[in-house]
Amino acid sequence: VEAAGQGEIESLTIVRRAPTPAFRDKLPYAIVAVALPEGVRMITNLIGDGALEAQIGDKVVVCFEQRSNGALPQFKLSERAQ
Amino acid sequence: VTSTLRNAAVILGVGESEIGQVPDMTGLGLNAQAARRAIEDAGLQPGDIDGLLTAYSFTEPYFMLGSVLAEYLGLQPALCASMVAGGASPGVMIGHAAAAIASGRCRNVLICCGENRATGLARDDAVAALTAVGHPWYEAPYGAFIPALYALIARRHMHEFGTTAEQMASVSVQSRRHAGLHPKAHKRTPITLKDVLEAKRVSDPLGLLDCCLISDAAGAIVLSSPAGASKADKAAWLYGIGEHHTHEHLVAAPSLTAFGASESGRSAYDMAGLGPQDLRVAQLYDCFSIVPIIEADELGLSRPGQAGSAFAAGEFALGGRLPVNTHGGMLSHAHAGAAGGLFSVIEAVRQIRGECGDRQVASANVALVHNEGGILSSHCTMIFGAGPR
Repeated sequence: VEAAGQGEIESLTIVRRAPTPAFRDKLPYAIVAVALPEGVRMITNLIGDGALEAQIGDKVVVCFEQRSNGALPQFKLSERAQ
Repeated sequence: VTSTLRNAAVILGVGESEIGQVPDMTGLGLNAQAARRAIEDAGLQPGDIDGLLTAYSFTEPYFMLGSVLAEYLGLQPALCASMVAGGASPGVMIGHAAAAIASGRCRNVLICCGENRATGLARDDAVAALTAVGHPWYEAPYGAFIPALYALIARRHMHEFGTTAEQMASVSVQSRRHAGLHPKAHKRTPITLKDVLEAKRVSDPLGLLDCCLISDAAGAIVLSSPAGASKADKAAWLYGIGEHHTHEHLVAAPSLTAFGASESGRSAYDMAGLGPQDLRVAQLYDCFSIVPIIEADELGLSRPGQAGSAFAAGEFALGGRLPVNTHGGMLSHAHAGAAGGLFSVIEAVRQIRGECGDRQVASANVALVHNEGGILSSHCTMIFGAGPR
């Protein structure tokens, strides 16, 4: 599936307890299920302005974080649904 | 497919190890203790066991766990394997064992699982090990550990069905009250809705008391041929069993609110020739407080979408319309790897036998058990009852 990088928040959670020490300095962080119009779900992080206040139905757009083993696709809010 | 396992097997014996913090025992030791108690309860000798099934262990991750456990127990069975379907493993093992018995391959299958997850792993290591359950490319790099994945399901359920944090909390409160009536339960101190709602947050909307325990524990049952079963009057008969598997990783789940319990339940009800109205007690999988709400809904135990309010109204508490998780479930009785779902089976057997004392459900002659593994990925529903059907 080739995806354009747009999507909508299907669900979201704010993680308050880190699963591993590597995530401790990121707390609290947002995990979202994003429905892509191409028919695929991604489970990913929502980052940037408003990430911790986002709502189901909000539109999001992909962004990439460079990590040691490659680029990690994450999302940020593009506009509010309401 | 016209085959059936109705009346093909009976549970003759059940047993559990010491439960809670048991630092002086290994995981294999806990399994051996539970196994010995189940074999004794069945009125059998170890030499009568000709089949052994077990699941997995995070604390003692042997490559051939079935063979290792057989070796440890001093058994040389005709059938032996370790089967992994996460929390659904006990149900899946019961299905395979019942089929082996029905085909004449075995007479008495010991099904045994659990581990020393509380003291065999540091708490952080236990959580980190479970993080590896997330998809290595598509989930884990985002810090999506198991509570976060279930939190995504809970949040979507709240959005679609109006389920509330208070309704989920009522599941935890009820489980703890029931556990208080079970002398071996890991956590027996009563908790209130306020305690659950104000507990340390893990991953919104789930707090610490919405999450299952981490225990040292093992459970065991002996599943036998009904023909010539020596203690058949104590036996719990298998009426129906059904599985359904829709995904492993949540990223690939067909839906965030509809899972495989409706299908596994339908198969089990069909095989038993029974429906939800025939049940007297139900033991649902409860790794997180949202999960019994989803399962009660899919298994037809409440009106569609209404299971949350049914829990909050006490319909599933002892004394209610259909008592659920009368031993306290994984939220309060014990959670130790695959043992959680097996404790549900053990409690169902004890309810059917009428051995549950203060937590006994009157006329508990038909019991449903639901096991779930992964992220609501693998489902197995079982219906047991008193006497052949």
